[in-house]
Amino acid sequence: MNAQVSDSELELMKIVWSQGGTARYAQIMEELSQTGRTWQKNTVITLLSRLVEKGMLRTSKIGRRNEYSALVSEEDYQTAQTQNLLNKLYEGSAKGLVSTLIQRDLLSAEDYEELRRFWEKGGETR
Amino acid sequence: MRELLKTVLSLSLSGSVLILLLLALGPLIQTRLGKGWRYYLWLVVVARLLLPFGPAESPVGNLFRGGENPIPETAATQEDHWTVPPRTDSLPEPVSPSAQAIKGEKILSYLWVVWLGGAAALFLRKITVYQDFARYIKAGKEDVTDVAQLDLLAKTGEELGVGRPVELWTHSLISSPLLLGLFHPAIVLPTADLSPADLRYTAAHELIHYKRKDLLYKWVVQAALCVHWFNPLVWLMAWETIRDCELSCDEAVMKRLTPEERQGYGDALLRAMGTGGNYQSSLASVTLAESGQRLKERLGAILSFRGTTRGMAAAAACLAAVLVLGACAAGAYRPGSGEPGDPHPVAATPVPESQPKPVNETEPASPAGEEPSANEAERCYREEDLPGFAAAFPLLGETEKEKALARCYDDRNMAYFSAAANQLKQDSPLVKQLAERSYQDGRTNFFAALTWQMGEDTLESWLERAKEDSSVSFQMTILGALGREEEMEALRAQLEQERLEELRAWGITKEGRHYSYKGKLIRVLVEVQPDRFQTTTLETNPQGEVDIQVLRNRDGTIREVSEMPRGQLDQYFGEDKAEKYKESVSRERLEEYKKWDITVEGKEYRWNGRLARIFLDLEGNNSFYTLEKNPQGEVDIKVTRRGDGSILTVTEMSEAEAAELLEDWADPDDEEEPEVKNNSLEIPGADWQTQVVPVELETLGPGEYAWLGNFTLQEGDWVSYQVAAKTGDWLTVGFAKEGETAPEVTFYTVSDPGLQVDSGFLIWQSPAPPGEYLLFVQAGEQPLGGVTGKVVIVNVLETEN
Repeated sequence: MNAQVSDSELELMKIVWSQGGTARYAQIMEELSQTGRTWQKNTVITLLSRLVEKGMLRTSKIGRRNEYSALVSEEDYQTAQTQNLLNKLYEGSAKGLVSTLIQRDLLSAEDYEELRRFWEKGGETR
Repeated sequence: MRELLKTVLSLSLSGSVLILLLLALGPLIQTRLGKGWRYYLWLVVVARLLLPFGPAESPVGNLFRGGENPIPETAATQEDHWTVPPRTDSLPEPVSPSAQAIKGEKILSYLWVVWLGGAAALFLRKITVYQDFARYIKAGKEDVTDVAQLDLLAKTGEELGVGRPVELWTHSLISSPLLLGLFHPAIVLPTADLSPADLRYTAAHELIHYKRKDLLYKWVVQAALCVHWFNPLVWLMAWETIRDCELSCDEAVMKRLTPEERQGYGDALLRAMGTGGNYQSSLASVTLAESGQRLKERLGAILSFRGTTRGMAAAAACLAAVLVLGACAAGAYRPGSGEPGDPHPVAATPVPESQPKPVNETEPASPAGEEPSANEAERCYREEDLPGFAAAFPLLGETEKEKALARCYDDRNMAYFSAAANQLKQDSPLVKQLAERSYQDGRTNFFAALTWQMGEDTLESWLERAKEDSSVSFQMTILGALGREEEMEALRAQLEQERLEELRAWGITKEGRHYSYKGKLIRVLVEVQPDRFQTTTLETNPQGEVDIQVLRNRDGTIREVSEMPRGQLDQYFGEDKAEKYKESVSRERLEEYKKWDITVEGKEYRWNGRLARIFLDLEGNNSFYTLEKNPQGEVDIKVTRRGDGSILTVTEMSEAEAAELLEDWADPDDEEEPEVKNNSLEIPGADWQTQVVPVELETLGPGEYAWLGNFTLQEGDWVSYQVAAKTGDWLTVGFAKEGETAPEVTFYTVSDPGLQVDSGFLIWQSPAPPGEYLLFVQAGEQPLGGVTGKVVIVNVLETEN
């Protein structure tokens, strides 16, 4: 999962994830049009095959139609990208990220409370 | 084969006639019928050049058959039928083979070898050039991610009737847009920074190329060129076809444009020429523009474009028909048919002295004269200039390369061998030869260096062979190259089994992590074997009494097991260590390091190219580490790993950290720690003091602590817990500061689940600071019964100098 995924490819991945990790081509086109996008069908096919090459999707034929399944879950992708972010910007230390979030007011008060509760619970199981 | 050559020559002759015809008519056709027509007419010529069709009797056929008499002595008939066909009478005449005839025969047999060799070589070269180019493009290309541009391409495709999705890439080093691939087409642009109009024209042009299968056409022409490489007219034709290809493509695009758009198309062409690098290969791609001269031509054509009228179409069709008939009529030599008719004294076709331009191909940069490179490489090798050697190597000729590699091999110089081998072509004969040699010599390390240059199939067949020969070390090496982790694990386990069995036969037994020799615990166990991928294995147990060395033969079997006097340990950690250490940094580790911009050369660690003064690599649970010092380095590096062993981060150490380290490990002899395996500890040049704390508790209440004494723990100390209980749910063994039980101030291990704690660790940069601690055993939620075992603490004392 080292290749970088472009914005448009990420959109498609989100669609696949939202369909439970597997979606047929027709479904993907349908979802796309619902979000107001008017991408050409060959464009979508090209983007999907790039995702397959990058190891993000697997394709199989159901009858005559193509079905795409996600090989990487959304959480795993988020984790990897976050790890990347941490490594690139914060030398691998989450502390830096968290202090940026806090100091720059990127965390809302509710987020903060939730985090605190989560941390305390987590502290007990050490 | 001679017949084949004759056929080829005859086809060449007919073809040449047609080529001249088309060349002469060219200007005429094009002004009337447009540029596209001749493009397809050339195909007729190509067909003529490649396919021996035609009537049994034809001018050319008879020309080639002219010298034949229906006498078995074909030897006599082969000479001189190039110039004027000899007069034959209808009655056969016995002709005895003269010396002249035999010589002629010999010349002809050399000729066809020359022809075939030339054709094959040319064809192979074209294929490799194409493959290199395609690979180069695919390696350096960037996907175009802008959906607007992708959509524009898709829509244009649809308009032109191209149903397939076509990929869109950019590559900064190509000179103009091109189409790549016959089955999975991709349009590659020098830059995506172009207006939608320009993109549309470019896309339209390339898509037309795809639709008409122009790439296939090009290859067919090239095939004809390979077969007729000796005929300059065919080269000329090839050049003309490329020109006509582009012109007719432009025409096809313009048919679909309005007059205003056509101007824009010409502008787009001009702009396309302005950007990009210089790498091009007309065999791999169909480009938008292939030379300035042609460009002018095309622009001119665009400006003077007129649509085709029906009259013109009819005329063109007639011309095509004439040409085809002419092609047939000219005929070909077909071996073994017909009687000799009246030979028409056809004068030899005058071959014009044209200067044919060869097909536009990238010529590889000619290497500098071979003499200087060989000396350069030699010098770098002698002066231990590895980068210089690596740079000079590719410029050597094949025999020189062979010699250089052989020398590295004989000198057992892995670094140089590796640097040179990495620049060989995959699966080249030199690779095969060296692989064979290292295999025979049992040198897995050299073999491993070569595996980088082997394709998967080659590796598979080597694997088969290694299996047949039961050569486990090579199997491991190859499996490693193939990345087959599970098989390697299985093999490793099997190897370990066999190793233990063999050791047992020699009196060495293993219990848990400790080795014993004839009942006595071994303190240091060294295994030495020459040329293995990992040369030395080292196990230490500070509690041991004896130091044992195991010497192995080339084939891996044990030659001798003996006790070592204390001084002998220095042999393995003396000057030779660099050599052994070089070979003991495993392949996986090197690969991992590469991903983090760390390179290793012998003792030198570099990060982002900078030499490391201190290099420290810690395992997640702090049980072993690699520490390397090089006083000439500029930067201090620390590698931190996660619990699972993977690298978390590589960072520069702070001044304080580095200073601390330097102080702790200050050693005038600058000894190094070779990589340690399996929780065993290597303590360089220091003396240690062992404390063994026996544990014997009948019972322990739930959650209750048993305190076993007060100890001072410092960095560099080593602790081992070996405690077990008979009943209960779990137990904890550890050290805590007085009055504290929070995890940050203790070192502890929990046996959960199970009732046995058996672990060892080094106190090094742990969360808790060094100091005075109380040793304890704590029960879980159930009472413990029958707790026995020991805790071993090894304090490191500094070397006294």
